[in-house]
Amino acid sequence: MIPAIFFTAITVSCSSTVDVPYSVERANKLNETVMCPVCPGESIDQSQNPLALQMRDIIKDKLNQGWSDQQIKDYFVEKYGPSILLSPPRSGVSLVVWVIPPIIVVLSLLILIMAIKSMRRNKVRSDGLEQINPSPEKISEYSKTLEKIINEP
Amino acid sequence: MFVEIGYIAIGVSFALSTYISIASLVGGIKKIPELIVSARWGLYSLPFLLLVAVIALVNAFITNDFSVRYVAENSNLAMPQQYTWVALYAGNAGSLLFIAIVFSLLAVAAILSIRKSLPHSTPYALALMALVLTFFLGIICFMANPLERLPITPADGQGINPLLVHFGMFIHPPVQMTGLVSVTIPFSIAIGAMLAKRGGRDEWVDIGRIWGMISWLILTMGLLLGSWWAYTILGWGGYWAWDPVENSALMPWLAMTAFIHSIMVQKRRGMFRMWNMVIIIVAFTLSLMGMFINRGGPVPSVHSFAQSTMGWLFLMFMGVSLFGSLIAFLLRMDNLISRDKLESLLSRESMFLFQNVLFLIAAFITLWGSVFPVLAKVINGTTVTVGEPFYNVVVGPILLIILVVMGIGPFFPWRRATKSNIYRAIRVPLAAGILTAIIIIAVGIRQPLATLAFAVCGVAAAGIFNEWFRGTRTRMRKGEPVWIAFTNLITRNRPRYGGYIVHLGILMLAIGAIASSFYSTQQDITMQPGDTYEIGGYTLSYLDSYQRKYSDRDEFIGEFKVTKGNKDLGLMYPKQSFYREFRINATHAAIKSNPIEDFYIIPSEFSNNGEAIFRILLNPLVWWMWAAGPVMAIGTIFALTPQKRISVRLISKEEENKRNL
Repeated sequence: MIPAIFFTAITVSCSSTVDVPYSVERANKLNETVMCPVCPGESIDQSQNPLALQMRDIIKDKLNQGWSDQQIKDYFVEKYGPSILLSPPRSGVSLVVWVIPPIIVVLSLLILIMAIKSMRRNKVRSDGLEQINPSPEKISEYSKTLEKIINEP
Repeated sequence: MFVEIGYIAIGVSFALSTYISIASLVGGIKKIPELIVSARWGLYSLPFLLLVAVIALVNAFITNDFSVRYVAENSNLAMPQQYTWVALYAGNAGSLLFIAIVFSLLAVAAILSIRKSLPHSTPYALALMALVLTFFLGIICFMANPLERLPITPADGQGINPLLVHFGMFIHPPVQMTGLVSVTIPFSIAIGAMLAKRGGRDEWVDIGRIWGMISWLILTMGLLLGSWWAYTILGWGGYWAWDPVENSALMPWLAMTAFIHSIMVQKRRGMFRMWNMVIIIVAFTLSLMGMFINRGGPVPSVHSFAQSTMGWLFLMFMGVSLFGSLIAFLLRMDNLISRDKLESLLSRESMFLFQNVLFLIAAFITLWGSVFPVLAKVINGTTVTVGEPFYNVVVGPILLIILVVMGIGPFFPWRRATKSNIYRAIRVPLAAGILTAIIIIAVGIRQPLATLAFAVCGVAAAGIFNEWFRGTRTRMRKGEPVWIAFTNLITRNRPRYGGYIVHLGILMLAIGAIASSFYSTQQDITMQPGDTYEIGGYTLSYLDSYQRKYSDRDEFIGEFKVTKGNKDLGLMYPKQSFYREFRINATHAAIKSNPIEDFYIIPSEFSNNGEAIFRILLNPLVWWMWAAGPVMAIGTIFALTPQKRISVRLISKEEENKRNL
């Protein structure tokens, strides 16, 4: 029943397409990639600061004038510096930020594989089970309890 | 007068905490029970001392004693009385005091829970907890004393940060801070056991796991409450922005998630002894990192209100504790050799390990993205922003793989499995996943990434329900009616079935996040009173706008009537408050929420004639994300409830100790 609710909810909510003009969608996407210069840590899409509103208007205007996304981004970079973009450029120093994560992934997986291999041939500490030599009464008590656990409703 | 008493209490508690750490450590090493007992009773008295300080501070707030610097900086005459509680932790000094008292309480509870069962490692654990507490109390005492007086008493205070004046703020910051500091408890228990050379006996594992899960739950709730707060007040229609401070809370959560899973392997199989130590050290370091980024944050963030100049102290403490625990780890490695070895790649042990590595990768990449702007600035002098698009691309896929592992991992048997075992266990979930994808494509959802993500959720959900169904059916064959069979099934192995409930919560969270990030509709519209607008089947009429003046703020309120089809959804009041003194605008969204979608109105700008810009959002399935909170809480608590164990010993306890097994 719960999966059914899940399903209906997903299909109903995600398949109903709402007609948002393409230019609006494009503007929204761009707004999400430009930082608001005066509000710490918020994009102009998130911020309701007057400056952010102005910048959103600039983006709308430029799009209407037929500017490309890249041109608009370049325009803001020229005005405010590269840190105005939320996504660091894939060139220069910021290339490093993009290169390291895949390296982390590959290295960790390599280490994981090596660790598993070494664990499989590793020495292990004896838990001394072999030297326990329990009495026969103990063993029968043990198996009785096991039986009980298995058979109880 | 009260203030002076509180001031003294803080000084005494610092001295006492220093004594506890030294006495407990020396008592542990030299085996002097008297010292240990005195340290323990010292700890028990700490919460009372700190309570005196807190009462003094609260009293200063209530009586508007602006001669106290912290009170003058974080409240004013206009502040409503109930916000005293928020003001208590709104600034740096007060939040540190809050952390100190909460942590002292947690430490008392932790020591009470381990002192009988772990007599050997308790002194070390106590010393570690006291050390952390000493660090906080030292900062409070010497650098940020909330009870410090001002040389001249101002007539009125500066007031509380208006962004904090919100219901979510009553709980999110304290829960989040408690979560971060609570990681210290499982850390101390684990490292304490290691220092006492008891790491090779898995006696600490049960209680360490319990505290790990408590800490995990608090962190989870802190994150969810924070998202909820962002969703309702930050007013952009989202709940997570990969802000540096959000990341700093996410990283310890990721590490703790790894820990509460891998600890199960040690509990069941006596393996991963070293690995668990490493993970808990990482989690603890990341939680200190979180506090550092929040307080001394070198990166701009929306959380800048608790900022201070003492970030470097946290960084130093983090460095010292990381270095110290690693040295201790290296010295004690010989005690941590596993009882058993990994037998096969196809086993639950390997799946746990794989899951752990994925979580740590996610944590480290997040860390990397958060510190990169600082590195770039220091090394190269360039300012870079690493924001949402980066994390979506880099961390997103890893989270998706984690969901896959969550879906199929639990069906791998312990030790080793054959390929046909695995095939039998995962064929139903896998089929369900493919079916999900087909249905989703059939109803017209064409976003390939979203389809993949939903299919993955389908696999995980089917896995869990299939397991419940099969277990229940087996019990029903023995003649139990459905509900009794189901209850018996899940109450017999609570860690496992509680875990499944938490996994369901995670799935609800994932589905909400996937749907709302791929299928959210957003439109900014300019409206005059009297205008009507239609979007996504909703009709909204902008009836009126009005202004209300309060002592500290002006509110601009829009009144909307919303209908969907023929159904009247009632009136909605999105509003914007302008706090004159702070020159800050706080937005309050109006939300109509149901399990299918949220209808969300945010005011962007009001002009005098009533014309205004509004942002309308249709956010699908966000409701499920908030509903996931209680589900995860119930699951965690269920997994923690004590279970009667039937045990038979083949040899007596004394014999076992004698042989040092």
